[in-house]
Amino acid sequence: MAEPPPRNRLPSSLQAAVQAVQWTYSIFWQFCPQQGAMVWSGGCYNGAIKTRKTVQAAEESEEESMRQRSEQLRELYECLAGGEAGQHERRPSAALSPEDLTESEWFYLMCVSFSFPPGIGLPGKAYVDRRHVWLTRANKADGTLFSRTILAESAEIQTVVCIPILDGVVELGTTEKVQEDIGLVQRVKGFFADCQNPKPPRPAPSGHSSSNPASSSPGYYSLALPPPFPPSQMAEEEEEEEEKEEEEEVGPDSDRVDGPTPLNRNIVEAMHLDMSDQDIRIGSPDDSSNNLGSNFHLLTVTQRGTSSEHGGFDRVVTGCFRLPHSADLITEEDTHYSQTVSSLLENQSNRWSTLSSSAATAFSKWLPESAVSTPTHRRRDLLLDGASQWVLKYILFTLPLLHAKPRNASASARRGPQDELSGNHVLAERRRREKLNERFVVLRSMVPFVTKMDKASILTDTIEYLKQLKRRIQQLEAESERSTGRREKSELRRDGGKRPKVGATVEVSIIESDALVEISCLDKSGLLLDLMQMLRGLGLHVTTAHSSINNGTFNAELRAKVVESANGRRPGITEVKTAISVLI
Amino acid sequence: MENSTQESQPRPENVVTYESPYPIYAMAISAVNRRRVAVGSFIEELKNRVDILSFSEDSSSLKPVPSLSFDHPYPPTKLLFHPSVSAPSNLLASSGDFLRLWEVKDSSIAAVSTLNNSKTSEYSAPLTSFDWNEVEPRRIGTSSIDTTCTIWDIEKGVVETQLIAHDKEVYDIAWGEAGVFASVSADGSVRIFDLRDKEHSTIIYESPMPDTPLLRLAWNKQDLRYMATILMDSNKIVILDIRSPTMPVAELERHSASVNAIAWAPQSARHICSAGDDAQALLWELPTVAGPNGIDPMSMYSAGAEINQLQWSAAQPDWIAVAFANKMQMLKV
Repeated sequence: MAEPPPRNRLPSSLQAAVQAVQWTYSIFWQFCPQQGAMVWSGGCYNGAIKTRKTVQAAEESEEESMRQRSEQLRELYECLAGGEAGQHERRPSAALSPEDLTESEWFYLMCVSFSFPPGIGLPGKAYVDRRHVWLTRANKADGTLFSRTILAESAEIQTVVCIPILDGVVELGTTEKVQEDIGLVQRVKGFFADCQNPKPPRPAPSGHSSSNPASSSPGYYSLALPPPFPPSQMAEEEEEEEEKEEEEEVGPDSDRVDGPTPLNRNIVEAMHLDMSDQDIRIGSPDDSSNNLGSNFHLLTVTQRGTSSEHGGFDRVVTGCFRLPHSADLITEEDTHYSQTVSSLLENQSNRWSTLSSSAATAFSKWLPESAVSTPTHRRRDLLLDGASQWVLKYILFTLPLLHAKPRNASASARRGPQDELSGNHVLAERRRREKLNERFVVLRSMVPFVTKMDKASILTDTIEYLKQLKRRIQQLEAESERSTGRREKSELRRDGGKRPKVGATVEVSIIESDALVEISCLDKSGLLLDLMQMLRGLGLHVTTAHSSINNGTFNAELRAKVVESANGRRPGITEVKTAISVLI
Repeated sequence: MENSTQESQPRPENVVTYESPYPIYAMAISAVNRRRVAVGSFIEELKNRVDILSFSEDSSSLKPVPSLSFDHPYPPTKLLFHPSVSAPSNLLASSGDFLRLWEVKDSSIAAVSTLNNSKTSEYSAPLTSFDWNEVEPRRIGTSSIDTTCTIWDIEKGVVETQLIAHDKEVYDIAWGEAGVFASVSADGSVRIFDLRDKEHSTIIYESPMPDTPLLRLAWNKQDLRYMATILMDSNKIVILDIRSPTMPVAELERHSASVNAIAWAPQSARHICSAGDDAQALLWELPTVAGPNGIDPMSMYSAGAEINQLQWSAAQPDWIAVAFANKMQMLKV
């Protein structure tokens, strides 16, 4: 957050005021038009300190150290509100950590998070009424009046005074019980009056005219103010003027206000969600006006968070979610913070679990323990044999095949057709196909030199072969008229055409589930037996076997039915070929 | 009504149940008539049905309308109503063997058309899913096991284009803009297609284990940069940013069993709901910066059985529809 331009007078006024009256702290609440509420705009802590944790020069004055302390507290607050991500980078080792603070310091720190719409809370009331508000026994006060009762209780802040000053409210608090004292109020006002502009505690109209650039106005009054309004004696008009000034200040001030504002927003979300929720419900849950005010603020805040891509929101989200959860999610540095918060919350029943169910939603808060599956569900998984996503898988994998089944010839659907009629058709179709395939294999066996095993090639090759044969016949018929000797030779040659004698030949043809194996090779003892056994091992069950041995040449023609072999794979043509080649 | 086993039971008015005579898978909520909910049966037989239910928030009831029901061959893989509130008629689309359009009138349902792209009467690849383009409602994109995605112009009843989207079966398709869609496939990739440049597609994610099928896809309609997908047999929901391909921006891993369905919130850019075999529906809020332990869900709902389907419709943004076993429930968000 960028430090606002030096508001020369305000911090020192706060400091001077709180020191003079020897109170614990002073805070300046300023009305922020954007948020429509009073927000923390400066403060000075003058109370008990536990540890300094800073290197201090001996000659440092009390004021200096006080200012430093206040600054440290503010920084600590910003760090905490910034969430986990920012913490590790931003906090120097010598910085304060929550456990170093006293309770009243903590109170001061937490005050930064608060904001009061006009009329709500002490500062809001003071602002609207333009009168100071004095609250003794602040720790026992009604929640509607003083929303920080619980905090005050733990911090032992007993007296709180809010005095409207300028465009905001100065709040002072102390751990002692102090009765209402007008004199004190006047004194405090005096501190601010002195510094800001030469106006008595009751601002005179002329006082306002001094809020122009020429005077020693504090930095936070903009330089671009219009000429002063005509003086008026009426208090209401003063109020109006003040408000008008505020509005005009919005422009140049917005930079300054924006600094704390987004942070405040985050903090509001973080803190309010756990703190102010309690605040809302503290004194009188049925006091609708207060609740409404705070609720509304909460709602607007959270809505803003969700609709925009506010960078702080996510940190708040993680921050928020850390709090109610088990300790392992909270970092070491946050332990004291959460402990303080949770000890504060102990006074109230834990509202977290009821928050989501009291709202109209079927969903309940997610807890880390829910991640573990209950025994019932595990059992269910086991029942399905661990078939995860089985409905989804059925929809995506099985169902399309079911649609396709009647038309697709080789579909491997697991569920049979319900319709008997279509079943019959399927069977008939299958038988027809099988017959065709068988015939193809037979044809293949009659044709030499068939290279490819698919039906189309078989037909082409057959056609080719027939043509060859026809030509051959013509030749032979022509020759037979000339000589008989040549006919014998050509017969031999024809035989040779069918089965080339060069080396060993292996032809394997598999169509659907019918296989044909033709082998011609040098004879070995027991070759046929070995072949048939090998084929069986591959999953080819031999149905017909023709074999002969001519002049040491082993010729075999084996037809087989293809079934899945032991490991469930259907044998391929190359497989069979290689296996045979090995044998012969 | 089966409730969660947690200490805080959701109130009856936040959960509205419909108990069906058969298991349910596909669900759709009508935009034209927000009270109409279509449910498709999941029977492992040829004869299946699609029923229209009447949902009443005030009386917390989900009742079937007997006259609004029709047969469907095998379970419909997806049901969707016309996305536009101002649609001329209450159109319902179903996918299965074909993409079919139905008109849901007050007391009857009329079949409008069956969109069949196969040129021959032979084989037409069944559809695994489809999506109705919200910006251009005459466009429906379908995904099929023949690795193609078909874009239909349903007003004319013709195919606008058919693309070979993947190397393997396409399992889901989702529209982004008027002419941009994405699809997931058994080949494990998420691809984005732009109809203005049909030659090219962009792979924005591939499953880490090669060829792990991606089963479902959801495109965030509120923030078109983000998509979510789920893998086969995985309890993770992968959130993708289309501007940074291959690297998911988040992996939501809090389900204790496989995830079956995902749906982005129709009214918020940061919320997504998921449901799985662990019988839980989780509502997530995506932060800008994730914590070190991953992202935790915001809230949860425990159903009585594995939740198979989830629908979060823009027609009823306050209600999430879940389907498990024989039941269909509307859960108030």
